[in-house]
Amino acid sequence: MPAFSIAPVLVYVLRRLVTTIPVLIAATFFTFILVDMAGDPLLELRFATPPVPDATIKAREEFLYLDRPTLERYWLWLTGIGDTRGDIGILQGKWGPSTQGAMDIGQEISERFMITLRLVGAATVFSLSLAVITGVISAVKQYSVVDNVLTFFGFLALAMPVFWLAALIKEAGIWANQNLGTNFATIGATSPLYYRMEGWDKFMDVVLHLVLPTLTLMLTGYAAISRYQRASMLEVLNSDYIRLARAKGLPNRVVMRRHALRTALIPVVTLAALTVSGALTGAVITETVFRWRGLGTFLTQAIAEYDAFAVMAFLVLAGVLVVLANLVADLLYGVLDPRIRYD
Amino acid sequence: MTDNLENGTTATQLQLRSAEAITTEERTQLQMVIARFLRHKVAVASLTVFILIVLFAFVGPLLWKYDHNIYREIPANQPPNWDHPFGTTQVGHDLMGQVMRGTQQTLKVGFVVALLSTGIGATWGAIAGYYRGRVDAVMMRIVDVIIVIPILALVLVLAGLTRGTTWWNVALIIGLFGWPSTARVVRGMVLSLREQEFVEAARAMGAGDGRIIFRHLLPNTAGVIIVDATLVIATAILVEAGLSFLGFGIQVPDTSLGLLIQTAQTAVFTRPWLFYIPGAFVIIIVLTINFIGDGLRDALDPKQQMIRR
Amino acid sequence: MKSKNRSWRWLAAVVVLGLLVAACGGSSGDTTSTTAGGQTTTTSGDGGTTTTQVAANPGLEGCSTDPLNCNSGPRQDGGDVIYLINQTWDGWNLNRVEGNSVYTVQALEGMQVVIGQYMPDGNWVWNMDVLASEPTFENGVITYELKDGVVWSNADGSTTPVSLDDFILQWKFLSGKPEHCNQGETDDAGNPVEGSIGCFPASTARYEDVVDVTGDGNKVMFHFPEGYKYAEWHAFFGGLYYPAHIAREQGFDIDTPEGVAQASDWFNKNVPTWSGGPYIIENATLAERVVMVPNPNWYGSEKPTLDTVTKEMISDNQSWLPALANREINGGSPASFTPDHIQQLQGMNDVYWGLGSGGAVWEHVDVNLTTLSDPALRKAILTAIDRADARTRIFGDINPQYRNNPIFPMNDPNFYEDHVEKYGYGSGDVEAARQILADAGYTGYDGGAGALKAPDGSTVPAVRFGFLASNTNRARFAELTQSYLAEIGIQVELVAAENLGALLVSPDWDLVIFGWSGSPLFTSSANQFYNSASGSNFGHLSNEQVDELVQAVLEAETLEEAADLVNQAMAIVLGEEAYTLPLWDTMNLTFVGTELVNIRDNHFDSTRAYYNLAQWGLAAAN
Repeated sequence: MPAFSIAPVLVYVLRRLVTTIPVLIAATFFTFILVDMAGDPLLELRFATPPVPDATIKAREEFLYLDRPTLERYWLWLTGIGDTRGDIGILQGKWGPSTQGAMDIGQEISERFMITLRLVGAATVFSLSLAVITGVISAVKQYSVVDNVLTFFGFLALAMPVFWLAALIKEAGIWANQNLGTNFATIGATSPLYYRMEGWDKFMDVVLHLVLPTLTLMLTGYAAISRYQRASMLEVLNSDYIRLARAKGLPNRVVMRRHALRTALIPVVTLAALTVSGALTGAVITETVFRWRGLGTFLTQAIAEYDAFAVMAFLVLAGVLVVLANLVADLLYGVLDPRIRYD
Repeated sequence: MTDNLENGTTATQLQLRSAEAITTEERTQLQMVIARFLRHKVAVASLTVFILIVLFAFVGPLLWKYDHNIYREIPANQPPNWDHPFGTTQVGHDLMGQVMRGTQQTLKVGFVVALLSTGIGATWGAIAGYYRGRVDAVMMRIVDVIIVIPILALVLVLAGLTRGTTWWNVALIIGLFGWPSTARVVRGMVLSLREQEFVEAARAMGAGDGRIIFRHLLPNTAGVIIVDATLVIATAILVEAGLSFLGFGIQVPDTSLGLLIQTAQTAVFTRPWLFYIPGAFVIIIVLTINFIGDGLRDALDPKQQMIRR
Repeated sequence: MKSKNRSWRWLAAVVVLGLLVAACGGSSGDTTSTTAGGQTTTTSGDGGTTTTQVAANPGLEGCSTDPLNCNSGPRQDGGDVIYLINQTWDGWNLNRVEGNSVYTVQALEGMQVVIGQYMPDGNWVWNMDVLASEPTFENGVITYELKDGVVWSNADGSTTPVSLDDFILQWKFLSGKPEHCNQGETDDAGNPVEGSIGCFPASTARYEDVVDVTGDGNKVMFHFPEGYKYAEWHAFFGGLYYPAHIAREQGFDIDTPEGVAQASDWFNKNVPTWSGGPYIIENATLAERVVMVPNPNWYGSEKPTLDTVTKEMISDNQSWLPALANREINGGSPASFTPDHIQQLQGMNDVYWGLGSGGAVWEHVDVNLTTLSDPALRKAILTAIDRADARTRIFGDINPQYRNNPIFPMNDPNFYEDHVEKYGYGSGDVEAARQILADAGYTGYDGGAGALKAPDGSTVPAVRFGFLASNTNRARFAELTQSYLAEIGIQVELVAAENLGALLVSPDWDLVIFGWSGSPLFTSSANQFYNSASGSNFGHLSNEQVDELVQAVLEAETLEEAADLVNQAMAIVLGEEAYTLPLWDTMNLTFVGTELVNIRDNHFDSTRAYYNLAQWGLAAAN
């Protein structure tokens, strides 16, 4: 590994962030307009039977800032500067009022974020590992039966709707519980009495709730990366320096581990960001099937309730998360591949 | 890079030579591609299956006695039998009629999304790659942002808030966000293509930017775009299914494969045919499209050694 | 290299195997339950009784004949129960718009001071654990007399007596009067009140008429204006949830409108840590879950035996039965279900389940009188719709009870009268429908959809059938109506709406299917549905006689008098005007593991099976 100076990297990171911020803001504006045009969150209330008092509806409008023009609402959401109750302004760390009753968007989304992070984290780690393993096997045994079978299952996993696979895995879990004495959970991220548990019980509770959804996300996520891993490994295996290493008489094991695998991993590592994004997408559906109270169900619920500020909160969080993952991936790429320069 | 150069020269010649010459040139290349594709047996088999499915979806309804609506004479909850090869629902739908309609709508969504997103994506990528500099930076940052936010989330927001209901709405919404990956790939190719002689030659002959982009650069990325389009179709079909599952997709009385699976969710154990048949159709369609894309990639990439049996 | 390579291969093989097992597990489960389910249902599903019990399940089987005692039995101490809540709730304060839902009621059940409630047999019962004597309504004054020792249990284990203050606070929350509670207006300076925006009462009905609330010893009196008519006064006050002393402890001056508003807001945002009922909340998350433990200071006669009761929110109906099989829940009484749930339940072991209806929630088709102005055409349409066929096609073997009277369900013991079948509505009798059209001068009724011609020779335009798109059963009914009305030459155009309320007030429909959800209280319903001045009279029925009758119902002195007036009005609404076609009552499903006793459905109360939480328990070992 060559000497690595930190200054240009910092400059690069700063430049990337500075260019990203305006785009993120533009994206939020665009989304906000869409959300605003989409529907009236108080529709149900206005047409409720028996009728809700007018004063109540008016107060709700004021509470949700619906009495302001769209542009003012966006400005308030972004900056919180103006005539407000001090509960709005994303740049001040305030998420705005929710249409969903007593829900506090900031508190809710941070709780749910941790839950989703657990799922997405586990799924990313496992799907990357599985992808590397199957990709390497496929490449080493190119065009063998093993390669063909793995390729086929990879394609099959790619072709399955997430909820379809999730339903099958859930059934398999219940079947295993009844016939094999396992204890997989099918609902939620933890048991109801989790808050009373300690130490090992707590850990096992989390694990047993993680198994089935992680398996689902892992299977839907690994296949694409596995294909990249296979291609990248093949390229490396056919390269001159590997031939040279072999010609020098290095044992196959050393060639594989020291030279081939490490080099072939580089492009895959940079795909981790894509995996995070993919897992977040998958999480929306997986969380629905397994009733996890995470970001995915937060989003679907916010949409169902026309909760504009909650939808915005999700998009900002998801956007920032994946932008960061992308940035980290770019930096990793630079660390792994000395040919890249940050200029 | 060599293949790009080859293609590049071809395009320059396209402009300069007479029409007859172009056809000869094209045919040889097309024939080569077809020959390579035909050697990819899985892809050929997939293409056959896919064509059969397309026929089933678009010609089938003309021949089959039931469409996706309710008919009083259809008995409830029949498992697959001669009168109803895919079985029937509780209310009196013929599942085969429904699957035909569903496949049709699902494929239509896939095709429209592919058209939209390759159209937008290729143009976007070509412009960014051609102008480089600040234009490129801004355009690609936008792509970055769209690509990083989970597509289902974006589509959900739009579909959920506008309550998509028709296949056309759903296709528009997915197409609106499906293009960034195409844009990236095309930009990458254009960045290298624009430095080549045929572009300089075209510019020397007085061609404007628009002409260079659309007549010289984009045709040379056709291979990549086609392969990319297959991926986009596959993704679009899965996203549509996901939307329907979450209740924000195509809605009754119309139907789609995703919606059929969604309504059969609770019937997995009691009337399995309602759940498994439309599901199998989604899987087969996406699977065959992916394999076709795989075959096309090999066929369009001369660098690839055709060892596959 | 070799060894490692092999282990990778194993891993891949295991993953693949997992998938196959999944597929097998799914399909073998299917076949068994289909056969078993199919047979059981055909033999016993055809009941005209009040509660349709489809399969032989000992636990809830007797509920149709013995709604108060079915599934009862001796219990043993201990046990952790997890029971379903099938929708989210948006706040903890029932009195506010955000918090006012049956799901909040279910989430809180067990912690409130119950004054009285409807029991599973449809009778109102006063809670004599709390009341020293039966409440009375005399000269416009409702009087409640409390027992000594009725207390709130606080989070720190201390107790506070239930007092007049608590009743007054409840009144102020719901009166809708600015002198009681800040209704969300700005303060004197013209700015919104920081941190609190008002009481947001969900409904001010009856409470807005209360003139004063006074006390006298253990007595609490609600004063209405002199001569106030209130036939259903018993249901005025069901229970107390929000103690005044807690509001004061939080620093709210509940003698001022601002303080009451702040208290209302605070009660909505914070999990109740106090209790005046058998259980007290130990841990809860809004819209997700409530964990309750026995209230150490419970004063009532029925002592709870369970260690914990968890109320778990699962909105996805597909998850309920797998979760039940896995005992991640022990039971549930969801608000809706599909025929598939019944078939699956028939294949499950160690589970009791039952179906029934209190008639409070029911479906119907309304006609828009501004567009379908000819009564003959309306009568023909209502006659051509085949209720029996639609019921079988939508519900399979569930057989929900038909609705023959918009106000009184068929199982109402006192006031039910048929106003549907006697006119031939919903019979699907095509010949009769065609005859009605022929008599009125129509032609082309046997020419298929779109062929019908009005007496003046013009083509009858397509009838627009509106329904809520997300409700599958209604969408199916709309599709079926297409086939029914085609038989009398009418073409039906489907109007799928995203929001029911918006659809109903719009002019975009000629026929519409939707549901009313009520309660055993009936005196205001007829007025709300059919008075020409009512905002809920969506099809614009305007009949002077009906207006007079439904107005008179509101002022009736007794329930009998009110019911008689209601039935007179219904004869006009249906017989003369052909304004509405009631279809069927919405059925309630309850399923519960056999390990528990005393859990049964209460179709007459929105708490459903939670109504007798204190009695729930683990079945005693034999």
